[in-house]
Amino acid sequence: MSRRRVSLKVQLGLGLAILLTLSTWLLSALVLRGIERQQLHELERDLLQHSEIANLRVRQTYLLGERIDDQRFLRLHGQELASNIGLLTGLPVIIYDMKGDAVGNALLSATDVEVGQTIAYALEGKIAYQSSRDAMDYLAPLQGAAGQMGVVQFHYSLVDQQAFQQRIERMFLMAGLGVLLGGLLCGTLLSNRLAARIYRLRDAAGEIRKQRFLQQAPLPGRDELSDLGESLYYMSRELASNMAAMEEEQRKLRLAVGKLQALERQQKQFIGNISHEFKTPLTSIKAYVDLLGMYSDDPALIAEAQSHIGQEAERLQEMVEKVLYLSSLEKYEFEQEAEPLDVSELLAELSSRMGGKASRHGLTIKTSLAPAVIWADRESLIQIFINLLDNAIKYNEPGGTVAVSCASEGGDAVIGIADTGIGIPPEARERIFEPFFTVNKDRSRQSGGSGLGLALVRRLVASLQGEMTLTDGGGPLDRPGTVFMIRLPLQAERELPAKEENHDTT
Amino acid sequence: MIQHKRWKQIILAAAATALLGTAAACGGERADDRQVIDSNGKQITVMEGKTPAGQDVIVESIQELRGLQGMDWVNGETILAVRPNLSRQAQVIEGKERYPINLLTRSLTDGSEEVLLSADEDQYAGMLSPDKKALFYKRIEESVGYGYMLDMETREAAPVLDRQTPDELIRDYEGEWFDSEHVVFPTMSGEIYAVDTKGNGELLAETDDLALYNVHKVGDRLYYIGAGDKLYLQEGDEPARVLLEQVNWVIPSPDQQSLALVRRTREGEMTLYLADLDGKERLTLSKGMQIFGTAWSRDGTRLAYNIMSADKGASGLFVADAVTGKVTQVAVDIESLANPLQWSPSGEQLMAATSIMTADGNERVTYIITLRQ
Repeated sequence: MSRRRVSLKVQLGLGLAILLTLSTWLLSALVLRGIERQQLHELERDLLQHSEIANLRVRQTYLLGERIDDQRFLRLHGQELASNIGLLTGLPVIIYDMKGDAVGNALLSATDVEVGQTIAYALEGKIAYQSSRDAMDYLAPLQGAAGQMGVVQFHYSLVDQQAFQQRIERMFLMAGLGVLLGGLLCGTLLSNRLAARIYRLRDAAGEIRKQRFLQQAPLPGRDELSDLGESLYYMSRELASNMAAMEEEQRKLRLAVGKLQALERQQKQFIGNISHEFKTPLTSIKAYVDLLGMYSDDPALIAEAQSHIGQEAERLQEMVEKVLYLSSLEKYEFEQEAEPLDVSELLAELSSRMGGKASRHGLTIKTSLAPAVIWADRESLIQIFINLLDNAIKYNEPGGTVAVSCASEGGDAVIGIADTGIGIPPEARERIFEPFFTVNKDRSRQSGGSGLGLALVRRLVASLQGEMTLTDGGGPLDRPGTVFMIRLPLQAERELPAKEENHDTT
Repeated sequence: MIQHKRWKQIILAAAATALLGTAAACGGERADDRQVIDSNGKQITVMEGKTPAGQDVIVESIQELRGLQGMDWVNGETILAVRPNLSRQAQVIEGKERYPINLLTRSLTDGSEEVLLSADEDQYAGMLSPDKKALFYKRIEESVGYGYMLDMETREAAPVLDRQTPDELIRDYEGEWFDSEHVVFPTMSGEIYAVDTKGNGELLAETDDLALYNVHKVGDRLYYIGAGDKLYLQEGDEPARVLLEQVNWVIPSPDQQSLALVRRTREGEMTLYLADLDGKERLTLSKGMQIFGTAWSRDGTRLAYNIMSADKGASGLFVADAVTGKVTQVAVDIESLANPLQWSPSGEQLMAATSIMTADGNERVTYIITLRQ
C-alpha cells in the first residue's frame, strides 16, 4: 500500500470541518430534543390543569343544581358545560358520558377525530392522549358525586408547536451552515498560518541537513512551534560548533602526522649522517691500523698513526658525546637547573679558558662585557658559548680575532661572538643549524668539527627562550667573518617566582 | 499501518461522540408511569395512576343565594347580608325603580330573613363585632359613607363620629374590629380612628394621606397602606415608617403572628405570600394577575382568596393551607368578588358574594360553599 501524501492544511481543514459539523449537529439535536420534550411537558401540564378546571366546573354546576343522576345531569348540561369549559380553557372541548357518547361539544365537529381507542382508557379512569402529526387529543375522566361520571376531551392543535420546531430547525440549519462556513474560513486562515510556520521549521531542518547551519531561530513568537524552532536552532549551533571542533582536531592531526613524517625523515637523515660521519674517522683509523700491521717497525708511521688515530678517536668521542647530549636534551629538558647568572662573568671566564686554544691558532680574544643577569641553566649556557667560541676559533684565519660582547638592551641580554674567518655563504645560513651540516667538509675535518655544534646551540638557545641570529662580520671579501648574536631575556623581565633569589645574588 | 491506525482513531472518536450524544439525549428521560401505544399512525399515551386533582374535591356542596350580598356570619346557620328593601318607598332613578338597600339576617336553614333596621338609606359593609353584639356599618352614597354602630340587641344605631363633614367619610369596605369593643377605620381625610361600641372615638393617627386604606391594628402596631402602594407601620408613639413597597393588601392573621401580603412582584403579576409581622417573607402561596378577597379562617390555618388570571381557566376561588402552603382550587369562574370572602365560625363554610349578569342587569349572588373536612 503506497502512502499518499496528505497536506497538513488539508488534514487540519478536514478535521475542523468534521468537528464543527459533528458539534453543530449534536448541539442542535440536543436543543431540538430538549425543546420538544419541554413543549410536551408544558402541554401535559396545561392540559392536566385544564382537565382539573373542567372537573371543578362540572362539579360546581352539579352542586348548584338539583341532585339528579349524574348521567342524566351530563345529558342535560353537557352542551352548556362543554361551551363553558371551552370558553374557560380556549380549547375545543367534547364531553362524553360513561357510555362514550358525546353529550356536549364546543368548537369541534365530533367526526373530526376518531378517539374510539383512547376513550376506552379514559373511561377506565385514566388520563390518555393520542397524538398525530398536527394535533393532540387529550382525554381525562370527569368525577361525579359517586365516582367517574364521564370524560372530557380537549383538542389541541400542534401546528404552532410544529411550526416553532421547524423554525428552530431551520434556524439551526442556517446557524450550522454559518458556523461551518465561518469556522472553515477561520480554520483555514489559522491552519494556513500554522502550516506556514511548520513549513518554515521543515525548511530550517532541510537547511541543517544540507549542512547550512542556521544563523538565527527560524520562528519568532512564544508558542510551542517557536520553542521547537529554538531547539532546532540550538541543535544546529551545537552541530556547527561540534563540526568545527572536529575539523580543528582533524587539522591538528594532519599537522601532527606531517610533523611526525618530517621527524622520521630527519631521523633517517640523522642516522645516515651519523653513519657517514662515523665512517670517515673509522676508515682513517682502520687504514692506519692496516698500515701499522704492514709496517710495524716504521717509527715515523707509528708516530703519525698514533697522532692520527688519537685525533680521529677524539673526534669520534666528541661526536658521540654531542649526539648523546643532543638526544638527552630532547629527553631531559626539564632537568635543567635554572638560576640567576651574570652572563658577562661567565663569558669572561670562558674567554680566558679558551684563550690558550686561541693563541695556539694565532688568534686573540677581545671582550667587551657589561653585566647582564639572566635566568638560565649554567650548563646550557656554557655549552652554547663554548661551541660558539670553539667555532669562532676553528673557522678563523691566523692573526684574526674573536670578539666577545655582552650588553643589556631592551630587556634582553645581547651576546655577540664575532670572528674574522672565512664567513658563511648566505645560502648555507639556514642549513648551518642542521645536524652534521658543515659548510666545508675538508675544513671541518681539518679543524675537527663534527657538524653538531650549532644544532646543539640552537636547541639550547630555544630552550632558554632566546633567539639567535647569524650575520656577516663586515670584514674584507675573502675573510668577511661571522657574527652570532644571541638574545636572552634578562632575569628582571621574567615573571618568575625566583625574584627573591635575584635579590640574593645582586 | 499508520493509515490503518489513523482510521481506527477517527472511528473511535466518532463512536465516542455518538455515544456522548446518545447519553446526553437519553439522560433526561423520565421514568414515568406512562404507556405509549402506536396504532394506525397515531400514538396513544396513557398516564397510569395520574388523574386530575378534581378527584379529591374539597367542595361538599354549594348553596346559591340570589338577590342578596352576604357580608358576615351571625352564626353557623345565619348570615348578615344586604338586599333592596322592597317594603320601603322606591326611588325612580333614570326611569328605573330603586329600593333602599338594607342590612338583614338570613337563615341558611329555612331561608327566613329579618331586616335589621328598615330605613330609606343604603346600608353597606356590615361588620359584626367578634361577640356579635354590635354591628359596624356605613350609610353610603356612591361608594363612601359615614360609619354607624348598631346595637344588635336594641337595634339602635349611632354615628361613630360626631362630626359628619366630607372629612369623616369612610370608603365602603374600610374598617375592622380589632377586639370585641373596638373598630379601627380610616377616613377620607387620612385620619385613623379607633371607636368603641358606645361611640367613644379616639384619633390614632393623622396621616394626611388621602389614599389611605387597609388599616389594621395588631397590638400597638398600626398597619396601613398609603399613596404609592406603600405599606406603613406605626408602632406605639413612633412616627410611621414604610415597611414595604408595592403592596396591595395586607391581612394580619387571627393569632396576630403573621401577615398575608399581596404585592405586585412584576408588571401584571401579584403574589400572595405569608410574612412575619415585619414583612419578612415566609411562604409564597399563589401568583396571579389580581389576587383579592383574601380571608383567614378563624383558626388561622387556612386562607381563602380569589385569583384573576390571564389564563381564564386558572381564575377562581382558592384555599391555601397556611402551614404547608398547599393550594387547592375550590371553584372556577367567579369573576369578581363584591367583598372579602368570609369563613363561617366553624371554618367549614366559605361565603363568597359576587354579581352575575342577568337579562335586567347585574344581580347580587352569594354562594355558601361547604368544604369537605
